[in-house]
Amino acid sequence: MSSQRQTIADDEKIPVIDVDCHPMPRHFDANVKKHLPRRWQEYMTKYHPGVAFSSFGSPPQREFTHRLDALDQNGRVSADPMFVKKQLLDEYDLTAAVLTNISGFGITGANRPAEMSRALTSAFNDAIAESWLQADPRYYAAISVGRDIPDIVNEIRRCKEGPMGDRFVTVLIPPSGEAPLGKERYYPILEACVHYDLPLSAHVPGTGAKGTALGHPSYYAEFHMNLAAHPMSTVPSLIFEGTFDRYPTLKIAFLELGWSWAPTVAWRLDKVHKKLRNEVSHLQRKPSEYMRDHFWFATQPVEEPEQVRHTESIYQIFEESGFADKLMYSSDYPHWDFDSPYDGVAAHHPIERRRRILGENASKLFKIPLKENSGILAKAGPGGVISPRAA
Amino acid sequence: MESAVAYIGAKPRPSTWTGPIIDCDVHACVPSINALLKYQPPLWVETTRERAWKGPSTASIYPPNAETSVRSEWRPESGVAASDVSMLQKHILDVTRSEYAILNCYYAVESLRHPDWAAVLASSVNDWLIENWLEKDSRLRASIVIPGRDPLAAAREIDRVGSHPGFVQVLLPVRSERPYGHRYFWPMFEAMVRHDLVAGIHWGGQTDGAPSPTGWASWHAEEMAAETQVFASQMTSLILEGVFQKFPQLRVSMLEGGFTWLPTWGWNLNKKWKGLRREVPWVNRLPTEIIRDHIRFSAVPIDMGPPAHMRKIIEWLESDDMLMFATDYPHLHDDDMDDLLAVMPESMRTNVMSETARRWYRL
Repeated sequence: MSSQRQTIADDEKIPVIDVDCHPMPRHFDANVKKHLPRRWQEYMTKYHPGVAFSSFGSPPQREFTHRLDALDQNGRVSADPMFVKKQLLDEYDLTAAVLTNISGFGITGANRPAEMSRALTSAFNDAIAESWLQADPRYYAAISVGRDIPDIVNEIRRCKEGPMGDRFVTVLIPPSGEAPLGKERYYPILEACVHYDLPLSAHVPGTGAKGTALGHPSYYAEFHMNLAAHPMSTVPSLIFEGTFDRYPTLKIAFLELGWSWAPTVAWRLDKVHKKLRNEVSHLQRKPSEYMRDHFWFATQPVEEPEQVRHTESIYQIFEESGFADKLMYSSDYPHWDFDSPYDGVAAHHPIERRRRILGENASKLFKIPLKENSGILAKAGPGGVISPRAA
Repeated sequence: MESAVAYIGAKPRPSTWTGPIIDCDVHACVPSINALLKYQPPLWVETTRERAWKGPSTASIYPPNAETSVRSEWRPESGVAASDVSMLQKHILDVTRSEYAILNCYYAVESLRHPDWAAVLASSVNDWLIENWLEKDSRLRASIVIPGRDPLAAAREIDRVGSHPGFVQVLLPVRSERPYGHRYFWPMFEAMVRHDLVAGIHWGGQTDGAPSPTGWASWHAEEMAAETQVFASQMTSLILEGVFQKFPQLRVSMLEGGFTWLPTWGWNLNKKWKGLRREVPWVNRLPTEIIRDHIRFSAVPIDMGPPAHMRKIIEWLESDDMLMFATDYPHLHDDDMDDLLAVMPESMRTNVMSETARRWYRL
């Protein structure tokens, strides 16, 4: 660390990309409905769109799991791109925010007609393109798709080859579905990502049969905690199925799925592999090497070790394990556990680390050029406050 | 003092550890259903014979021919590994010079859904353990096998054999049809507390559906690598459901689930508690504090990373009284206990090798 630059100019800025900002359109919104055939508009009015996330156990702590000041004058949260522009893009002078529409990938096609599910998925992606991407050039978006809808790969193609194709920078799916992500049934989605050189992002919640191995959680807190279990079984699936020998350029980004677990999972994978290499003799490399090369992570919720003095070692182990250029700032706007860029990667971190996490890593992964002389003031501490000591 | 034999990677070698040893997880395997029939009432003996039933299968949990299920030097020429006390003595007790070893007999009782038959089967395993293991070697202690799909029957079985001095724990397969924190299971925990027994959550069991939130694994290696999430979910359930407030004396061991996942999971759980604790008002302090008071972990599989990093993981535990040595006989782990001891502070080594387990199991 001593070799790293510590002097920071008063006006020095760190450019920021937020890789996880949630627009929250609903199926009955005018900008969604206009893209739907009348039959499905009427169907949903009567029979509900059949969104099928794994059970939360108990209702979330607020209606939209939102932070209080994100509620707009219409009683909605993250429905108005201009409101969010003010509260997020302008507030932190962002280079970009990647829009991750959760409703889009919550449609599974399992409990509603597949044709309607496909139509609704397209309507959501069209609404994002029209209402959000055109509202501000700093908005980029994920193509949000249910991973188990038959032929959903056509939606990826449609968005990429549509008028806003360049602004769709990732494909977004839930972290669980009808089977683990490494199974053959998901090859078409993986192939489409490789074809368009798009990272495949997974974001909570899941659409699997249950939120934990043991069944459904009783509490929202339990549901929320068990989201961290999803990558613990997804990484072994992708690696042991040989996914990255089949698709050497495939990139996976875990959003809101944690990151501090990555080194210990890599050790476990290597140990298991050492004992059972006969079973998985198709692997060309050690599991930890695939992990290091093919997985990206998002910061939110920020790690809070029991003792503050352990904070540095979490980052140190992560970076020394080869993941230094794999962690990206995410805000999770407008949710209750939102992290601002000041709080997500606080000022006590070395400036190079802050630059990497706040902007550079996402810029490389999503191919979004960082805006010079933009972003947050490097000297500002938690909440964006410049303390007399730091100044 | 004489050095013990350490079992690591490809071959055994002398360990640098010369202090006392308590092995908190060795396995007894039922050689065949016939060994149990003498402990069962005639109805179930006849039923077993009529149906030519060979007993529940543990083959998907421990595939008998997989490298990980039995170390090659512990594989008998014929019959079932770890199925007789003489094997355990020859392979482990006499060479690791353990003061005590705690037997866990996973027999997949939960795969038999007939409630009465499962209860009889569990009882017969316990009687077999008493006669053929506990009474044969005074170094042995054991876990009570229960019919896990019927908590009331489980409580009855705990009451039946719980006062036997050889039983120190109740074996709870980590995969259960619902999380162990559910109130449905509380009569079982109440019985454990009544007999001052530890709840030992151990690899094995059957979930309702796939043993992960993401679906069925294709490969055994994949399933094994992913298993830590099941332990983490059980721990989360026990804490959030308030089991440790309801039963303040309850001790839980997490066995064969590793421990390197624990610190970051614990911090995350603390954070959820800070933000959302109003829906679980009985959880009256930080989850990591509850864990330190109520839960211990077998050190295997160690899943060792670079020593400098492992040293940090140990520091992150914020306790030198959390891990317990185990050989996990007859399974193969790539565990070098000496390497793990080397990254621990001196004060922790004796605890890990013997004293934590001695206090925990009241040995």
